[in-house]
Amino acid sequence: MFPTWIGITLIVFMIVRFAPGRPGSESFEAGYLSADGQAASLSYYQRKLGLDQPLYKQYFSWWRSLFSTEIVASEEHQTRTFEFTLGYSLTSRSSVVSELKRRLPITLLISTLSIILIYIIAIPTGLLMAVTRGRRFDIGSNTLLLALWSVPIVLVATLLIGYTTTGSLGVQWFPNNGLSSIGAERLPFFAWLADRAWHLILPVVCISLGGFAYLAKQTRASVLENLSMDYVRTAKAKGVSGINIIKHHVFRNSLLPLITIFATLLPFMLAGSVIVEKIFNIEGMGLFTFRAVMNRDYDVVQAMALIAGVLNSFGLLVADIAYAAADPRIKYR
Amino acid sequence: MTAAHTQPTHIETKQSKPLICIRDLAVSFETNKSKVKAVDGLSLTIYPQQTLALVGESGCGKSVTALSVLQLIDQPPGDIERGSIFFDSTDLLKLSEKQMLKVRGKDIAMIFQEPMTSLNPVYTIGEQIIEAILLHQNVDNKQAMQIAIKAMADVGIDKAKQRLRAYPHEFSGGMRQRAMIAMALACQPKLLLADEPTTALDVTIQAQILELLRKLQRQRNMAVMFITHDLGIVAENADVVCVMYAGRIVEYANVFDLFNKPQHPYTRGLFASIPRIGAPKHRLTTVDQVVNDPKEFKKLPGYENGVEPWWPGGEDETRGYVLHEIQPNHWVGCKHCEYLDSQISTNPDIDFQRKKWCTGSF
Ligand SMILES: Nc1ncnc2c1ncn2[C@@H]1O[C@H](COP(=O)(O)OP(=O)(O)O)[C@@H](O)[C@H]1O
Ligand SMILES: [Mg+2]
Repeated sequence: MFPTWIGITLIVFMIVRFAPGRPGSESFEAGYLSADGQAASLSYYQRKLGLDQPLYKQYFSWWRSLFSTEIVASEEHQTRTFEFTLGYSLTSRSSVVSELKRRLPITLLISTLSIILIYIIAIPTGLLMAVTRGRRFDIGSNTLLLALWSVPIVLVATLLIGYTTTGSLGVQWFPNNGLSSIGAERLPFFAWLADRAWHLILPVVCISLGGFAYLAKQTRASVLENLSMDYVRTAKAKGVSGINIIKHHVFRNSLLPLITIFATLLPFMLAGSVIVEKIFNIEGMGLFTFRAVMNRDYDVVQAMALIAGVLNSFGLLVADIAYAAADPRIKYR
Repeated sequence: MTAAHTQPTHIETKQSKPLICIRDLAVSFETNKSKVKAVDGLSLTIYPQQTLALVGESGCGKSVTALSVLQLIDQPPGDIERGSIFFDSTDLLKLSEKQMLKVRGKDIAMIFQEPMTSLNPVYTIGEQIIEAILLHQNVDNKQAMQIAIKAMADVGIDKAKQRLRAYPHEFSGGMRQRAMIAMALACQPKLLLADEPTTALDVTIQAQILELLRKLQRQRNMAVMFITHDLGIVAENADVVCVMYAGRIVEYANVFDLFNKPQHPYTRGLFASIPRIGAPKHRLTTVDQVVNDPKEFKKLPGYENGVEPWWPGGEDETRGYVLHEIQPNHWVGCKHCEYLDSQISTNPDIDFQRKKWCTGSF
């Protein structure tokens, strides 16, 4: 796994360095700096961040900055403290790790809820589609899934905000901002929980649509594939009824390939969180990443990419372990 | 064995009642705008305890015939166009799906060619055998387990109790086919449809499985429809042989008649294509060589009235084929002609059983 992570850091490092724009350059776009001021600003950041150094030196100094060492001098002796910081944000001046402590749980909450929701809804949908193959439900769902799969999150989110939160159509079902109402922290626990859930509904729905469409299609394909397997014919020849063939024989086999799709969905969720958190103004990892990209906050963008890589490889690991547990043909070695 | 000893080799009495009569079965498949007639007007009869071998090359409709008996043809794309399948005097083709569920696996069981993929990979062997038992026998789980253990022991799986907990992938091909047989026979069926059960196995295992099937058939007085394209297996196991080509019967006779006096050029071609040790030939004779030889399709021996063996192609297919009993208990697919029209047509029906332990040598 480590080589993968190092590979990720290299690629992200290169992309970030070759992307247009430099730290400080976003302030030019507002147009309040003279040409001289712009040049001064750029060269300030160049020197401050060591951007005038050769690339490989920049890369290694980034690695060094992931762990900051501080020399604390007290009266008797000096102590060196190591701190795992993942670098510092250019704009908030806090370490990435300290930001993560606050933000990662929020993003993971949204992602986990979405993935659970996706599995709960997509599997029965796909199963039903496979069973009604070629009939109206199947064809209709197929079209709908294609639409859900193709529609960008931004559009869905904008429509949902427009129609269900603003009251312009007479309904104002959901909040359109943040994860809690003002003063929610003073509510009793269950009221707080309800408030949190109420805020979570739209973001979770937005982020789930694409994954739902994908998983439902995979479920349908998997069920159909299993229905044509030899063991189904054997079960029929035994006298198992059609419904029990699905329930006892096909269903369990069809779930196996769906387990590993968990590892495919997780990156979807993390990428989607950037957009959804921005739109719904949720202070999670996604919004943090979004700001960092806009500000050319190199250290943060790189740290975020690294974290996403680490999370995704853990996702793969979990998927593999779950698969091995579910399929009797696979044993741990 | 002692009772059988006293029986003559050839029993040719039609006293017992047929177990299953297939009459004029026609099954077609709809594929991208074209219609394939997989089985076209097939009739056959199997008596209790008899082994009927269904022989023919790949794609001639053997599996479709067997699957039709259990009504396991997917409709669509399949379509059972006409015919009847009488089993114990009920027409299986007229039964509802619900009624068929009580026949499948209970009165008629089936085993398949691919032991590797025919078992469900995520359930243990025991779970799968017990499922069949619980479906058809009025027993509780514990009794079903006992029956399953006995069924496993009967097919020669030792340590049956532990092996019940094994998954299919932990078994070798031969073992899996044994497990399939145990599952099929756990409910004491009267008829076993064996669709090339040994084709995927290597020769030594093949011999063991065949021996096992013979033994079980004798013990349980079970009839077997044995689908194969291996004439050696036919020679050793069959009582009656039905040779198929392109969905039709080309020859139907008891095993001795068929091997001693094959009438249809296709059957002769099949025999000619069996390699013989010491034959002074560099290339093997193919069936095609025989059936493409115009001399072969001249009049059948003893029939000077223009009776010729049938072969697909050319003229109007539906009028072109007649299954005719050219000698007592020997049917051959013939070309339609005036003389045959005036003859009484009979359904292929041979109540013949050989001595089961004599593995024939011809
Ligand atoms: N599910 C199916 N869909 C379309 N055609 C089929 C299907 N099953 C069988 N057939 C057709 O029926 C013919 C006979 O098939 P089958 O009975 O399986 O042959 P075999 O004698 O080798 O067992 C094949 O040539 C094929 O064209
Ligand atoms: Mg076949």
